[in-house]
Amino acid sequence: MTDFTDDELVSAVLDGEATDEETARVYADVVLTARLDELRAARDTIAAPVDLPTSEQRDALIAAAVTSADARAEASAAASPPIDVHDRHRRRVLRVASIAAALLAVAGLVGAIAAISARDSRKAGSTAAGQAPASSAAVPAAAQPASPPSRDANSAAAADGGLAELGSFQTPQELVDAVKAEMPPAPQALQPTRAAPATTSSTGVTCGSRDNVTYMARASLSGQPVIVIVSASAGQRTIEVVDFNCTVVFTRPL
Amino acid sequence: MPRISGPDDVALVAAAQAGDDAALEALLRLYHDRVYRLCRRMTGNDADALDATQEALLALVRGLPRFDGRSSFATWSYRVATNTCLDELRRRRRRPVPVDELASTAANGMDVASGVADRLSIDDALATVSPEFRVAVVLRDVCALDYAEIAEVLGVPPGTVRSRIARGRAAVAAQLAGNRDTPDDRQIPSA
Repeated sequence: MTDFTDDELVSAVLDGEATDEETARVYADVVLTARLDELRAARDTIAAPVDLPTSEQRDALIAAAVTSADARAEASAAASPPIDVHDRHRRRVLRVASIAAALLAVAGLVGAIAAISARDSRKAGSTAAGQAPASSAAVPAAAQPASPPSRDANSAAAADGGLAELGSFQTPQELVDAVKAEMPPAPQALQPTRAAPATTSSTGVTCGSRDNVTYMARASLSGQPVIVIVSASAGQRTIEVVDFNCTVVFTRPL
Repeated sequence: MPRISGPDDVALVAAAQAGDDAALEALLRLYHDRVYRLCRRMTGNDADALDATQEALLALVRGLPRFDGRSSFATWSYRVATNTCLDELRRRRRRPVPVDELASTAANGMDVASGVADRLSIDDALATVSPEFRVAVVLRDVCALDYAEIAEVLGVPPGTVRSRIARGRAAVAAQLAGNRDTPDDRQIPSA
């Protein structure tokens, strides 16, 4: 009688997968040798040649498989156009780089604006201080920070941070009164030191040329930021208040 | 015994993967007979063997782009064919048997209730062996793979292959001898 262990041993010997010791053990045992003959007969029966399909059948099977490969390739190509993975990656990197560059540019622009603003503020302050002796004889000290004669009107208007801040007013009259208080006495103030070839709003919009500008300042009228321009002509001072779009808010004799 | 991998396989596989239809056809011709023999012994009849072979070839074509060469193409093709045959057997178990097929089987002397024949052919004998044992025996005795190769195809340890082949082969031997007892119950004839 043999068991599964014996069958494994005998089967392995039959297949040449047993060790020499195992093989010797099988051939030394008549029961195992008999079992070897039985399993060999089974093996030979199983290994009997298989009748293969006809050549036509084989060709048909192979042709169908090859055709399926072509069909799959065509379907795949139709479903999605070929994608160059490297190109897609390159485009993604470029997109990210573009966004990063744009952010850096914005940050740089903001920084530059802030730096220019700060520089102009310092420059305005130092220029006013440096020219104070020349103008102090004609202009009251209170008007010196925004004294037009001491500044280039164009650049002064271009950088609103360099204009004097008059404050906030609810009505035009309050604003006019404040300007009057800032202005020097009429005879002296009527002597413009130079003409402002153009006035530019804080947004950088040129508001046009003005002659005989004697005073400029920044203010808030009814909550709206405005620029106050005082000019003198033929002994008459005129106040003109414009918003940052160069739209005249009001104008009147001062 | 012929080795399962040939030197031409690598070049053919590479060309077929690159879309060369001629290479693909040559590769399939090279492996067709091996696949058919496996399927024929696994399924037990010509019609199912043709169906299984067709499915196996299609599966090879479908899987070819993913074949990475970690195993030989022959091993991989046997694995694909084996899985296809096992799937075919599972489908066949679920498939209703036509009445005329039952009548034909009964007329040929088959015991329909038990599935045991009075006269067993090799196909009938193999049909009584469970598929997992049968495939190990077929891969060994029909496809001539060694235990290590069968282990790679089936994804089991070589010791398991040895055991499955012994059990399957013993079952076939028992059927051929007209004895349905398990090897444990069988009396070994004395010398």
